[in-house]
Amino acid sequence: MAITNDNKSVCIIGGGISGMTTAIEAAEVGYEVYLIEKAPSLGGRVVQMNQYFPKLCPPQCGVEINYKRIRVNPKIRYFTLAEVEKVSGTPGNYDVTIRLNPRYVNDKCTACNKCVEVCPVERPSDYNYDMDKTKAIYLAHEMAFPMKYVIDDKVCLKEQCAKCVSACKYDAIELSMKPKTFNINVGSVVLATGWSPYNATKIDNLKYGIYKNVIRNVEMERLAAPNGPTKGKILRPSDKKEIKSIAFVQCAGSRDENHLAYCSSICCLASMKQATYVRSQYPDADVYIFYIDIRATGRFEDFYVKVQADNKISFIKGKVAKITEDAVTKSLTVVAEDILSGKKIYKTVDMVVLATGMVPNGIKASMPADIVYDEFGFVVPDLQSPGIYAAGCTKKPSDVASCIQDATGTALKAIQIFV
Amino acid sequence: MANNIIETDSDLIKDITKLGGGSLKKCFQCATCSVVCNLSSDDRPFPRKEMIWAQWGLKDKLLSDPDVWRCYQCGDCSVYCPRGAKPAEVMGAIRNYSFKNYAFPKFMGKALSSPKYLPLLFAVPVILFFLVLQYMGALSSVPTGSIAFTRFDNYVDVIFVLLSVLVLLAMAKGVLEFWKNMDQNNTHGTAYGSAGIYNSILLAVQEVLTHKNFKKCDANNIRYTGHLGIFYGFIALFIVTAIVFIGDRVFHMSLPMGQVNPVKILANLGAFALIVGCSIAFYNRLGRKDKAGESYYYDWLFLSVLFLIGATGLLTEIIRLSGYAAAAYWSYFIHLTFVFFLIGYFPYSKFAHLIYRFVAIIYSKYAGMSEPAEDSVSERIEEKSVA
Repeated sequence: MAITNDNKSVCIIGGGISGMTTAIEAAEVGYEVYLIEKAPSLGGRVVQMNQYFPKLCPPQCGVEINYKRIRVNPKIRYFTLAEVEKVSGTPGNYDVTIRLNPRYVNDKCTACNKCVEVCPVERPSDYNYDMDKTKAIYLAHEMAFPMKYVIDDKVCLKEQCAKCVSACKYDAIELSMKPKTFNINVGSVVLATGWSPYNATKIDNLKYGIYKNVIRNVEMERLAAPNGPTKGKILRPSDKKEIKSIAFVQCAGSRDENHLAYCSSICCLASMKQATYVRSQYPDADVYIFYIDIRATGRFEDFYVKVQADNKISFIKGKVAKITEDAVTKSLTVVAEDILSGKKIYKTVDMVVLATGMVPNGIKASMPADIVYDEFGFVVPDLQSPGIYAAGCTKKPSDVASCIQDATGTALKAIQIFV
Repeated sequence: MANNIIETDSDLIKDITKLGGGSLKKCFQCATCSVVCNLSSDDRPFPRKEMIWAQWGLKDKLLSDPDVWRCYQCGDCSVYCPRGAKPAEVMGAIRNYSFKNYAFPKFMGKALSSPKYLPLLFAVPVILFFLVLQYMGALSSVPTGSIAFTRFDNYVDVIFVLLSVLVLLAMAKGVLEFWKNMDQNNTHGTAYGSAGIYNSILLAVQEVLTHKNFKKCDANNIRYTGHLGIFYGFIALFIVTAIVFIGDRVFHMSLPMGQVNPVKILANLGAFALIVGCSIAFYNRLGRKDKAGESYYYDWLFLSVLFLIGATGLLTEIIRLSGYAAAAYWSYFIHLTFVFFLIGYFPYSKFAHLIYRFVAIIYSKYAGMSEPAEDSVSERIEEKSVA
């Protein structure tokens, strides 16, 4: 591919694990990169995880290393609270329009937390999937990068209140900050916009959003995480009590043409991993995993075998299609047909975790070439048109390790048109 | 065990596909269907097991399974099926397959399974009735005097009595075979036989008359209303026919009856219920496909014949009352053709579901099979969780 100018820089849309990895890999071999993230902090979904499977290590150390590699590398320019509005041009010469939303907090912020102490307004914490609240001025999470507070302008009372402005000793809060739009010129573009958990309220028979103790796997990660709403203690939402039993509902809205027709590939491992969270916190708790098929391929099979060996974890072949709640105790009864015995099985448990799948976030900005999506909204890698590439869960549902591998490969593709 | 060899029938899938179960291969055995079904019992849930039996070609299992007949095809399972495997339609196709399989003589089963034999099936009563008219000399001139269908009684009664006897024998053969299959291929539990056969029949009659299980369908409950109309309309007309036959033959009652005669009132009400019920069923099958699912030849044929019996019957009565002799007699001719079709092909058409379902219900009571609960599913779950 002949390149029309000598602009050897890459714009990466999305600052999750895939976007960060692509940015770091491209920059560390000498190319300029722009990393664009719409949230107040880099990190994406991985910073909301408690542990990675199958090694059960926390994501913090890997994320921290990536943050450091970004911080020390002058070739990486990152923008948070930034959204790509438009990409135009041709391979080797793309013009990217970026809108920078106001943080209302400038670089003087030392993260001293004085502003939060005086702020009178609360908002549901998106980091904790709305299971607790933050103030209107908040830190995205305790490892936020950049380590700067941010104001949610949808709830902040601004000048009417301005208590934080007077509480801040460093003049870090600027309520008058306005959005800015600017353009960058790059040689190639990488889409790493990631995924969102499926809206489980659509699965009407599983009662998510109606019964308090029915949660999704993503919420379970937060409940088990030391920096989560319960400080890492798995307590059921209705009464904050310890649990004695729990059921995992696999394929909740997945492999289902009424919801997500595809398999998200990670939910089986995620539930098994979460079963180990429960077992390590509650040695007497019973865990039931209801499945259609357990998909633990390759090296993950060892983990499956290990979890299977735990006699307090039962695997039941049969999909849960009905859940009821005891009006008084708020305990839940899940119903499935145990296919191996051919009889219905009723299990009354304290809590139910729906193993929901991944929905691709897609691209909202207008793009020059028609990006090819598959029927589910994942980007189909188009080898015929170099210049715009996709990484990680933008292409298909993947676990973190696969995303990192894929992002490294994507970095190679994105710089290849320059050589 | 050496005698535990599973017999499979590779043609089964093709047959069931042809009879309306084309989606059966999509099933991946998640058992959502068995759980969302309000009629499925805890010990023998369906239709998940029937789906895999069909996929595997386990013909004997399907033909001896009472649960196939405990399904009223309300479509709850199809609505929640993640694969579009439409278990409700597959269950319907398995029932169609049973009509064909238990048919005696076998060619009759085949004749009712495809529209290409339809002209032939109608030709039988039409030719027969023409021959009667020819013999009576009524073909060349319309009988004079007041319009009275009783003038054909000697012939009509002979034809229909003979036909009924043949049909009953054929049906009995199918039913006995069905019962034997059910009894041989289902494991006998401790409750087997404890209800006693008469009590089982009584319980089955009760269940059928009240439609109490049909009522539990969620996705397609309009079907219940339609079926109730057809069912009671048909029963009313059956009773009327019996009364008129006996009254005419034994007591020489004067026919036609006046419009205020209670029997006549019952007849008119029955015809009305039948027509309304059929109309609801047509509306449901044509206009609510998303809920009702696809309909197939067996469904359309049976429904159309029932509707046309009701419609032509009522029409004949109206024409008779308005005094157009020729039109009335021809209308009666057409009406009888449909009646012949319904009765004569009873054991091989969807009409036979009345008997097979009834027998399957009796068997399930007799064999002590577990019942779907009286109350709603959520109440049942609460009960279970307490226990």
